[in-house]
Amino acid sequence: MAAAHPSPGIPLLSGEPFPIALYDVHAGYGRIEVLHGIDISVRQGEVTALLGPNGAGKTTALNVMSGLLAPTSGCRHVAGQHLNGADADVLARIGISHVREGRSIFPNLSVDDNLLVATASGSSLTRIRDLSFTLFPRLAERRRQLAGSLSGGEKQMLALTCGLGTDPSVLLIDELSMGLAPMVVAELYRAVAAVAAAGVGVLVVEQFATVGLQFATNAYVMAHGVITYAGPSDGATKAIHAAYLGAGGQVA
Amino acid sequence: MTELLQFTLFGLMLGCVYAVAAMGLVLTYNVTGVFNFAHGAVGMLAAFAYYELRVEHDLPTVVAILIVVFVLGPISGLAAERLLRRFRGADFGSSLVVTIALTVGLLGLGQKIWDPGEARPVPLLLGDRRMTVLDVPISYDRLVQVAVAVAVAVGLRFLLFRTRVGAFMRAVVDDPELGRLKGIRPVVIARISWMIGFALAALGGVLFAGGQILSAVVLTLLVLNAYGAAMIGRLRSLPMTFVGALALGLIQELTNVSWLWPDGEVFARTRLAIPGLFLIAAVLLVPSGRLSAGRQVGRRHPPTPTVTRSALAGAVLVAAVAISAHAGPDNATRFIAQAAVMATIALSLVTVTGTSGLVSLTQYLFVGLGAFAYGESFGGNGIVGLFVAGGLAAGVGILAALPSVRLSGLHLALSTFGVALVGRELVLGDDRVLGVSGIQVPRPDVFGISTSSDAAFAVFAAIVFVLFALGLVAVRRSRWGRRLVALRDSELAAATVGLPVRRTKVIVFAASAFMAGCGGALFGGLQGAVNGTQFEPVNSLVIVLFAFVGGITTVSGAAVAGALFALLSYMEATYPDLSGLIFIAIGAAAISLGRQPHGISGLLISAGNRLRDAWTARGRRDAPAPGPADLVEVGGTA
Repeated sequence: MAAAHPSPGIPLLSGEPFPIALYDVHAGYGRIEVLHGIDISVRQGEVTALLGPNGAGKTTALNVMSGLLAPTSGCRHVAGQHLNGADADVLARIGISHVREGRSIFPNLSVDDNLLVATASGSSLTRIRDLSFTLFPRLAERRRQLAGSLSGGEKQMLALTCGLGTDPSVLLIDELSMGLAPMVVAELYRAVAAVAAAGVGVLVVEQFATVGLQFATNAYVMAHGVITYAGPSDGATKAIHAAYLGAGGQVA
Repeated sequence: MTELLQFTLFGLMLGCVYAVAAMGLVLTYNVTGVFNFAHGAVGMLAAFAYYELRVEHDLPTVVAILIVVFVLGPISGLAAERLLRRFRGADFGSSLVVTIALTVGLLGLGQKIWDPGEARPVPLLLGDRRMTVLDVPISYDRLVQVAVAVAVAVGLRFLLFRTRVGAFMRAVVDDPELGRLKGIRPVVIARISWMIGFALAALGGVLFAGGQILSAVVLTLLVLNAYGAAMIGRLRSLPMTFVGALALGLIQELTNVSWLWPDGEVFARTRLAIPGLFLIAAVLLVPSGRLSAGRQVGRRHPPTPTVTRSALAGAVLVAAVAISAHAGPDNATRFIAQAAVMATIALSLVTVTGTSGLVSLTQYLFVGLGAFAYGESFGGNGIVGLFVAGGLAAGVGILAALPSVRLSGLHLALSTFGVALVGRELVLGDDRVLGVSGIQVPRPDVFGISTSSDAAFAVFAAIVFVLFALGLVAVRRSRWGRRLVALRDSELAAATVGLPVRRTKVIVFAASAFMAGCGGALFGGLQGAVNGTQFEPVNSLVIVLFAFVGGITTVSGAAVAGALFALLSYMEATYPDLSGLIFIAIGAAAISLGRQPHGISGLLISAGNRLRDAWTARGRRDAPAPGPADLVEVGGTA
């Protein structure tokens, strides 16, 4: 199913079935189209980076993957199944976990309640709790505190742990590093790498390219709603420079 | 002292019933984002259903209550969720109109099933038993009210903070989108909250009904009183809602203490106006949070025609009215006049709501004032009388608008409804104004021409409507009109570019009240005699629905609304079996038109455009396909 690639010129990462993939997806808000036909596939057990400057359409691509936004044309495949019409809550229960940009937590709920709500996707509360509190022991100390009163790093820990604690098959993370100290970022990414090693397909969106590339095996570079590079992450530098500095043109 | 104690206790107990109803309202509003204006009507229907089961079918009290609260309430809550699902994410105006439509429709339904002419006394829930607390005799019913309210409050607290579903509900309140990303099914949560909300409305209705003689309107308004309590909790906090409910109950009952509240008619009327005053005070005094930019619901509006074209259309309209009024069947003439009168009143809503985006639920207060001014002071004085009527209404409109101009959206709508409730008791209900006995309103002589015949009056009313309509069109095409459009699109953005938002709002309210007042003068002339009961707040809701169905954004929509009103009245008059039809029909129409923001008129305009496009495109094969492009909603936000 992934064999016939709709837009030649951009190399495929591989021919194997992916836990999640977009093919020639167009999407946007109202009459404004943001994605002009993009192809992204996430491999199981690997961290894939999606990089690009502000306004490239990275967040929109993630929103299409997690079902917050329906593609206007093209296909969303989940584990090889064509699932264009599925809503976000359905996809969440299937096993797609999306950690949104900013703090993807419920600020007026306590830490415990945030973990409880994460069980809506069908995983057990004890599992999520054990995982979170072993991964980030600091959260255990703040169990009864409102999530909104946590520090920035702690909020992101909570968001991440709610996202990966539900035993997902795909983890989509938007701007994990934003506004955080480098030490905290490293701590968070260690957790992400561990999740990927356990067999989850991870896609990280980063505006700060170097951070994303450090941890990723493969990378996509986006600019102006199209993919300008797809391939191993160490070969992405040129495309990134083009995308960020406006050198223009596609770098294959 | 015993008196004070007695009424303090009574007040707290009354507050408990308000609390039950208000907490249901707050819960639904928070979880679904829909302010259920129909909460009162649901409580009213529940009370009637309870009467049917308890009195007519002689079921035991407990069984009847259980059926009403735990079966009928939740089932109708499910139905409401289904009905309102497509309005999720709609702007506040359309979801408010739909629940108003539900209110009016249910009120009509209630009056259709249970003839208002028949007295239906409901026995006290627990009979005549009573006990004495601190020398105050208290019926068991009132104790039950307290127990139920406390149980509901504790139960809701437990549900929200101790259960998984409760955590999901709070999560959805906090961030609906993130809730979906976590796998919460929005429909399930919405259903649960509608079921609980309706069950609590039903419970409130039944508690109110005990020991009363049922009246649909009175019961609806009783539950509506709880809105003020909900506003004290900012529509967010359940504990503060409870406090607000107790405060309202206390204030109402303490006015029965002889040394606290003076005698006299004015004070007696003020006592009746307390729920309305409380609502206004709650909306005004409790900070309603940040000024929000509102959702950008960019909408294309039908283009405003040129004044010349409108003048032509107006001339055609007047001619058509003149011809049909003179040539048509005699019994129809009166309804043609009625159409023109109602169109004028609907036009006042096109001005305030359609053009400027301010929802006003108080128009019939102005209509009543206009009728009063025309009848009382300057009867028969033609044009001058009209100006007096409009001027009085505009003056009151400015007074009513001044405190609430800083509000917007739902808060503004609720404060205008509060004004309607207060106006009914303090102004129109007063015998010196209209009262129950009412006054005579003559028809004017215009430049020596008598309008005492229905046909002449129809033409006169049509001319008045057309003149107002032309004025509105001219304003809309002017610089000032663009200011109003800016206001409607985003109040915050309008303020940032330096438009005097508040002054503009006051002027708009005054202009709208002026039109409504003149409409009222015509209304009085049409009826010949009016009294206070013709200008109930409910009528203000009904006319909003008519304007909305006709097309609240266009001047032609007001004409359609007036015609529709007259048509339905005509059918009611011709076929007595259809009495009560108006409420049900307009409620159903408003619900089904729902997300078509330009009403029937908008549908006609876009159909006309499609025809015209097809006509101009004929022969040209490559012409773009005519689509509904003229009237599409520009979706969403960035």
